[in-house]
Amino acid sequence: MRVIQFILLSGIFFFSSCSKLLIKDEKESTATQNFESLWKTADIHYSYFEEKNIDWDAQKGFYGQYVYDGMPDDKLFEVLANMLNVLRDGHVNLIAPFNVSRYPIGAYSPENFNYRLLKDNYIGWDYEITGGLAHTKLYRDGVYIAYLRYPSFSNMLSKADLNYVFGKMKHTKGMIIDLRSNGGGVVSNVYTLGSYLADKERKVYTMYDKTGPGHHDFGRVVEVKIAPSDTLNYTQNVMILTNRTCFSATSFFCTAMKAFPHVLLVGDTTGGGMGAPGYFELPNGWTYRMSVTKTLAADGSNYEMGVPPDIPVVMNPEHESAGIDDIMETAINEILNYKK
Amino acid sequence: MRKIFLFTLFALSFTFHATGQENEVNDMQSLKGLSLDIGSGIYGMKMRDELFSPLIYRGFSFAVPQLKLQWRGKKIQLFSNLITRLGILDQNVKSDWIRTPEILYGWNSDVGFLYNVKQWKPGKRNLWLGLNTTLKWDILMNSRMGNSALNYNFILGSSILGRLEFPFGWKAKDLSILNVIHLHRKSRRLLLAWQLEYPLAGLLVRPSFDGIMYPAFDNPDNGSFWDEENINGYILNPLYIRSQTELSYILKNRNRLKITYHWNYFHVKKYDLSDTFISYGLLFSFVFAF
Repeated sequence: MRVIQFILLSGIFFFSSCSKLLIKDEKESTATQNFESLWKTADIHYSYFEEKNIDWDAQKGFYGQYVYDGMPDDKLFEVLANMLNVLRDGHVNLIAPFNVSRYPIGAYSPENFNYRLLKDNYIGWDYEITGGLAHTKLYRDGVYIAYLRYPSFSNMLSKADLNYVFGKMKHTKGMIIDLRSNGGGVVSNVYTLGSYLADKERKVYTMYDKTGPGHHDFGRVVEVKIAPSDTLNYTQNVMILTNRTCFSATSFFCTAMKAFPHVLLVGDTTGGGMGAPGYFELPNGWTYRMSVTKTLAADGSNYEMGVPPDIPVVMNPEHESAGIDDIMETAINEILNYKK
Repeated sequence: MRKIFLFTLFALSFTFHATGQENEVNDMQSLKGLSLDIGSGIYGMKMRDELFSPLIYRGFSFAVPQLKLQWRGKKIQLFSNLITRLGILDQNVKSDWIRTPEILYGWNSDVGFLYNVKQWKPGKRNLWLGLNTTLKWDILMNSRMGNSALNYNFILGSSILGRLEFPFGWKAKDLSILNVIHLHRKSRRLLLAWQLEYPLAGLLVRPSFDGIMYPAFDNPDNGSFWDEENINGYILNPLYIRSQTELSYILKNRNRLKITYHWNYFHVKKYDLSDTFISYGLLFSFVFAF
């Protein structure tokens, strides 16, 4: 009897008090611990070390010399952010309560987009907005050309939206989809919009997931295909306008569209961002994200640093001053000169 | 004032005499048969998943509610159990900056049986052993992290159960005050039980090394939860241990009031990175005996 009572009471006591032993509380973190944690997590999770030829061990030595315990938070943030920017990836951010670091993707390229000019001289101010799409028809040389402006893949696209837009555009000679300065968003919109441009089911890209701590440890492979929509499919000539600040989901879309022969990219190379970001935390509570997958195009090309256009065009500032959008003009001419 | 006090004592004694005529529950036979346990309670939680964060998260969740259907015979207990939990967690780092807590929701359902392998004395201590099948799903939504990162663990497995029961009680003597007021006090029957669960074999689904599911990057061809990379089989791996200590008060009509202390432990380790989740809570329930 007493033995059983003892067992019961010991059990109750044990299971109510050992959570502190199983997850040990830690004291306030130091700058060195935060630096180590960030470096190690990036080392085992980041997916593009090889493609970008980055010596991550060397970065530890270089940036580690600037870290000391007791340094101010903003100084620590600066060192950590600079180390992360070595990755040259717009999907890498350090998020402290007082600041967010980011890699300046578009900083070294011309903007190649002037929406005011576009509205004044090409599409007018009375375009329709359906769901996340602004759209209108341009009239040139006796034919109509469809113009769709999609400013963000975060604007969700429904089938009803696309049925309406593509229904109105089905008798046009060609279509311009203006994705310039579209910073990405929800990748499911890539498949929704892509299905209305698909002539037949095609493999559009392959995603590789990081499955272990080594720089080469990629396991799961997902082949992504886009099949035609069951309602409308636009198979006339399609021009997708891009610039350097097209990023993430927009680069996914551009990569996917390269698999379709009737679709061409016009403009500047996109900003890349072909790795899906994973989210992590530092011991001091700051959050950061980084690419943890990689994506290769259907032909095996790696567009992490940007999807190149089929027709490279840069807006001439003098033409821009005169109200001409060179990228638009090139796309219009391609459609007008296109013969099936 | 003195009159009121005496009247109250008198009234009480009358009441006690009135109930004293009813049958008392005097052995564990009253626990036999079908019963439905409906309860609710609060859990404390503590977790750290080193795959994504070195931080400890603490919080609490509510069980909304617990349902347990049980049939108890002389040698066998069959049961089916469902607990749904909803709660919030916050990190252990103190900050003056505003931040949103994590949201955790989960449920676990169990179907199992217990066999009475040892009874020291009839109606006294009992040792039961049995098997349990568990379906358990905990989902942690990290709303702070941009694309709504999501962490989860899913278990479908069987486990071995050990249960020790210790019925006890006391037979109270009637109380007489000044030979005027006679208080008839009822005998009380209680059941103290401790149940421990240890996993045998099953499937564990966790985020793969690259992590979390990305709703923003989800696509139709992505297998999400059920990808091969995310599914791990296990045999005799103590990745979860559950302990529950129950104290039941048996009412005269075989219904029971029950307090249960749960202690649940989950731990996996891969690539030297561990995920540990501990929850402990008190559930208050009413057991309807049919």
